[in-house]
Amino acid sequence: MAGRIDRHPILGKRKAKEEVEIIFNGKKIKAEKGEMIAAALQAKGIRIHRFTIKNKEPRGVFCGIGQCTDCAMEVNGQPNVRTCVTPVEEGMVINTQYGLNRDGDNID
Amino acid sequence: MVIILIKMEMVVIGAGPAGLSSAIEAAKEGVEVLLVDENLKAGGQLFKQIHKFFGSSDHRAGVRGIDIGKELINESRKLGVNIWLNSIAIGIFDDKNILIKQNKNGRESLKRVQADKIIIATGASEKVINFTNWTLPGVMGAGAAQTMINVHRVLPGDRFLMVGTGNVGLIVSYQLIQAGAKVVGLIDAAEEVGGYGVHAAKIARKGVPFYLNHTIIKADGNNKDGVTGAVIAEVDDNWQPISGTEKELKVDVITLAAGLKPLSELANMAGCKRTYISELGGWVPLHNENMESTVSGVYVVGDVTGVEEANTALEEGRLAGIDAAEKLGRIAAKESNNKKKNITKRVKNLRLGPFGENRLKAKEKLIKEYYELTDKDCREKYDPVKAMEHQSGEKIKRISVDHIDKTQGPVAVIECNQEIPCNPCELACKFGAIEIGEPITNIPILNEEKCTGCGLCLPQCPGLAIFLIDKSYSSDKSTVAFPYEYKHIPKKGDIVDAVDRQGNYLCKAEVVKVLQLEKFDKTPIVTISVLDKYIDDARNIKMSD
Repeated sequence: MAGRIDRHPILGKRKAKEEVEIIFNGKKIKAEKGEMIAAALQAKGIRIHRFTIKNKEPRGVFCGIGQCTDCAMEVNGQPNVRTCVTPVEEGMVINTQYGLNRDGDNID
Repeated sequence: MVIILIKMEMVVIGAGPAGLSSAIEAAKEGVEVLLVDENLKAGGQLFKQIHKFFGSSDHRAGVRGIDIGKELINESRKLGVNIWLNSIAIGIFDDKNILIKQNKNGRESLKRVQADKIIIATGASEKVINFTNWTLPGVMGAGAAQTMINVHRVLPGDRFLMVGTGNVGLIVSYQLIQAGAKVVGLIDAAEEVGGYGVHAAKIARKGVPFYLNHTIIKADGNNKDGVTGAVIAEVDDNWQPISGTEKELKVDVITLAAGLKPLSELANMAGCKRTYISELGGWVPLHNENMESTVSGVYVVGDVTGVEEANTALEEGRLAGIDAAEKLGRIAAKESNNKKKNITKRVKNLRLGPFGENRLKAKEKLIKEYYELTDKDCREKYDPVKAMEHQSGEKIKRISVDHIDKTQGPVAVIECNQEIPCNPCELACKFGAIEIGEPITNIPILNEEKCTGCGLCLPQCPGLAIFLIDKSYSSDKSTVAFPYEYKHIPKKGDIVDAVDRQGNYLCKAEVVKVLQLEKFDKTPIVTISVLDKYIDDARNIKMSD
């Protein structure tokens, strides 16, 4: 099942970790302290991270290791943050990014 | 921003297996080493590799990548290697000056480090395939899915289509199943499976279909949900989709395992000359036998010099570390040469066999001999039996168990017929019953006279390709023991469904033994009993995962 993997034959049982609260598009969601933003969102089934500037196409996690920048979002007001390599923090505000930022300002 | 200048004897860029091993070897000789990595954790991609590694004992074969990563980090720390994490090497300038952007607790700083020796170990990134809607969320690299499940422990969907049947595609498919996902199928435009047969066999006996000679036409989906399906089709001899053969698959994730490309930009910036070699993944910096690039004092190690695997990366790192230490006057030339000679021999061993040498060409040739495409059925299902039959009439004996006598007692059967660099089984057998010898790519030969049926080789095989057959179990039943690395392990006395090498239901079977020892490293051995007539085929069980 999609979401958190509680039991695993090699990695064992998932250890309960300290939780933090993050705000995704205005909604509070729980995340595990220290985990990457992309993982916290995926655990809640969220996988649309941003929309492109010209064609307004959705993008999400593609490489998962900080290389491709497809998973960029607006984090604490700062656009273009690579969410797959940026850990969550208590109270972090994460928004879907439209174009270059939340308000859809773009260069076209 | 103030730029701080630091001088170092050696700077290693990238803390994956190649970078760590070069740092360790140099530090062992007393070299002052700084290891920088852009990630929050050292280890590169080792921490998503939860499977047991192939190779020899020198390469920690049979140990899981995740544990090798921990060992390397501990060792480098013990040796006093300075490790800067969250630190990006932005560029390499004249006179071996490296500009590093460091982020410490949210505060960024720029450091200029001047090094006598630089080791570039920047690794590789996944290649993409483009098809209609390939940018939809839900289409991701196989490595990305592997990171999500094994590092972050989050499954990014329920139903997966794997595109590509190289070792990455095969291993990640297996690990997706272990994480609780449904792998709907693997597709490959080639007519044969690209990776090791033993990896393919692991997922084949879970009943996962292989669509060979197939390509992906498009991803279905929308702006709200991302991927909701995939359309695949057969390809003709010119790799073009054949109209009318389209198949719709209901999936929410499409994972791409289309190979990797070296991240050689930094080497290029440092002035290292590069060349394009498709077998190695693309543009790669040139280097000599000691991994030194065309720029004196700058070394290139690991995937950045050609995509291979962690074992070769580790060895290349060691070579560079020792050579750099020698050039810095920390180790005598004679000793250094001896060490380098040994490593070079080991690397050579890893590249023997059809999978190592001249990667693509050899692979194509081997697989052609290995697995002949005859009918549509085997096109869609990887059939390890057929694959092995095809190798040679002689070797087919090794997977038939006809030769085992009803009175003989338990004996190992090794279903490993490809020349891959791996020998943990040979070392696992205390009775010398399994012989591989030199080179390491030899196919294991079992001496049944010496085999006591102890089964200690079963959990050691990273390919999960050794079974224990006991025909003497009862007058009409035999037992087969096999490794079983899934979430729900059966209990003694359970009645389960026995399946064949392609995951097809055979018969009911009783679980007669479940062995889970510490030294098996999370690879339990399950023994089931079946009627004699099924013993040739029963190689796995079906349980809900």
